[in-house]
Amino acid sequence: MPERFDEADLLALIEDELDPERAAALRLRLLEADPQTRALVEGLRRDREVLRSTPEPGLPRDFLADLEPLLARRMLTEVPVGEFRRRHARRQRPRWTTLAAAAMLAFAVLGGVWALSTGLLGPKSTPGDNLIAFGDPEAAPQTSTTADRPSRRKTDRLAGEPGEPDPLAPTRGTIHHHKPLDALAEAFAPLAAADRDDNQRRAVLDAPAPSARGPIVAGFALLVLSDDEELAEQTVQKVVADLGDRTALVRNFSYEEAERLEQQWLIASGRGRRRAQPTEAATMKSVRSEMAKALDKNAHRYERLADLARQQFRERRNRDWADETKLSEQLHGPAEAAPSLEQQLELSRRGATHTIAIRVSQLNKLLAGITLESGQATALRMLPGPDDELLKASRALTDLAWEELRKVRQLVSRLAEDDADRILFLPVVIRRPDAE
Amino acid sequence: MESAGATPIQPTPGDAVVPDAFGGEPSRRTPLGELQLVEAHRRGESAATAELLGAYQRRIYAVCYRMVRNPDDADDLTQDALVKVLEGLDTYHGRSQLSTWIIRVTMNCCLSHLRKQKLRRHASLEELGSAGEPARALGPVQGELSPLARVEQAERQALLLRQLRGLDPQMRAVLVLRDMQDLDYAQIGEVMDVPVGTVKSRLFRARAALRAAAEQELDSTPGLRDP
Repeated sequence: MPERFDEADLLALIEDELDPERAAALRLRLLEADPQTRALVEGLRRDREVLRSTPEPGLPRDFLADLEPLLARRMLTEVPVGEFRRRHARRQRPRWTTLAAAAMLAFAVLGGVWALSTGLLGPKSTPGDNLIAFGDPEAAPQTSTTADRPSRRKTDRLAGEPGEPDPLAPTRGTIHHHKPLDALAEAFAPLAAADRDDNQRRAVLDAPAPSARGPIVAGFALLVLSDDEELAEQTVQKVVADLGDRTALVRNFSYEEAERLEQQWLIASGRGRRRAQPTEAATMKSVRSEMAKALDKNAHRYERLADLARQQFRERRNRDWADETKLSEQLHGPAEAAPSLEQQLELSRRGATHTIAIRVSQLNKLLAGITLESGQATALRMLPGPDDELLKASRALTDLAWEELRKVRQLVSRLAEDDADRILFLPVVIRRPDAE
Repeated sequence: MESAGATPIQPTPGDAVVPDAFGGEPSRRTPLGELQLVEAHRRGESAATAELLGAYQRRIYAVCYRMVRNPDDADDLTQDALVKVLEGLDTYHGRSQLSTWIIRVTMNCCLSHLRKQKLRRHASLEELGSAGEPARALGPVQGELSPLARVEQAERQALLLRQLRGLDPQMRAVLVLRDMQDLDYAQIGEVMDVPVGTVKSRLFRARAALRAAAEQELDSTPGLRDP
């Protein structure tokens, strides 16, 4: 009866994992007991050597050069809400996170019931979020000391918590995805199809009710570079208008303008000039420390400036105080769709010249529409955080303002998972290419 | 980062020092330099990202090319794999070597692509020939030193690569990972998400299947046979 050899031993012989003595002994046994298997083993050893000596194929090109626009294209075409949710759910939710989330939810529910029963449940506070600030405006803390103004929509709480570490510290880099028209049209064809399907579905279900939750503010901005800023503004206005009635475009009430008005008022009222913000910072640590302390004052500052501007405007123009749109420039859409003056000031301070108000589900269509216009470059970049103003002022730190596309893409993903009908305030920066 | 009982290998120039572990549970053995690059990438440092991906794009392409043997498909798969690596770096935990993890991502791209393609197990000679390597007849293999032997070696290589493409994707994968990427059993197990024992068994059978396919081509070409 022929001797049977263990597959593991044969593999070890083929793979040169046996010491010379054991290998020789095994070969001898094979030769004596099963020459056919020995021949096979030797053939497999030769094949192994041939494969191992196969040279690695040469790199046909540098793939990294193409990666950046590929990421941009994928970002803009991945977010059709329904499809993305399905894909995202499949890809990123291992079971253990589901269990952990369920456990946390159960704990939160039990904790809430206990708190209610013991009367400990106090006012809600929205969680801090460096990138997207949102919250139920009805639950937002009322910080204004002025009289209640029902027609003035309370802004969402501004991003950032004092002292909260920024998980996405900004670094240099922008991603431009300005492309020839043909390439863009091809890239967005699946997106257009998804939008058509989406629109057809919505037509069947009737117009969706506006989201009960308040608007959210994107932490990234649409950057439009153009030698003709007025034309660029008209382009953006046209694209926003084409999205429908529930959209708005405003030219933000400039923070610099508001500060100028404040200075005029202070001088006119005999209170002297406002102390200027420090423009030099010894170290990043000292700057961050200062801004961390001042961060909670920003919201109050915007409200004070907005109130002062309204007051001055009222005095000068003798108009109704509710007509806030005249303090900024409402380029499209109803006043109630536009962000408040406070919000415009905050975004203006962070560099945004305009703000678009759209539904989350319209974001892709908006970006597709704007990037298809020729003669201008567009990009998406993170806005500097509210605590970056002093950082920008420091000469050593002026290159920390912008994030990379990867971070923006994460935000777009999160937005797509959120309420698709929720109103999104998208900051826009329209400027000349050589400006900064 | 060495696990107990692991045998450190001697680094070759250009390699990161990589403690080796045979069998058992994979240990945290990510080289410190690569881990630092990953952390820098997470901080948004684009230079670190470029360095990471630049170091691995060749290897990623090699895996893709050997798995699909079509330059255009390999090109597309390489891009896809690079994007997936980039996306996944945020969640890379360092429990396995970065190289192993990257190859795993790449191999998953390839296997997914092949599943979609539903390639036949045994392509025709014409198809294999058109993939970029000539469908040459095999000559006798006598050694590796003489010029004739080198030519024969090249022909044998072409034959095996042609037949490799016709293998079942799982078998093809284990051969590519073992012979062309020089992974050990544990690393192959991580990439393919199978135990080491399964890796060994699959490797042996893959070699046997490749040999059988090569023999079949030899038998179908009259007058040409190993002595």
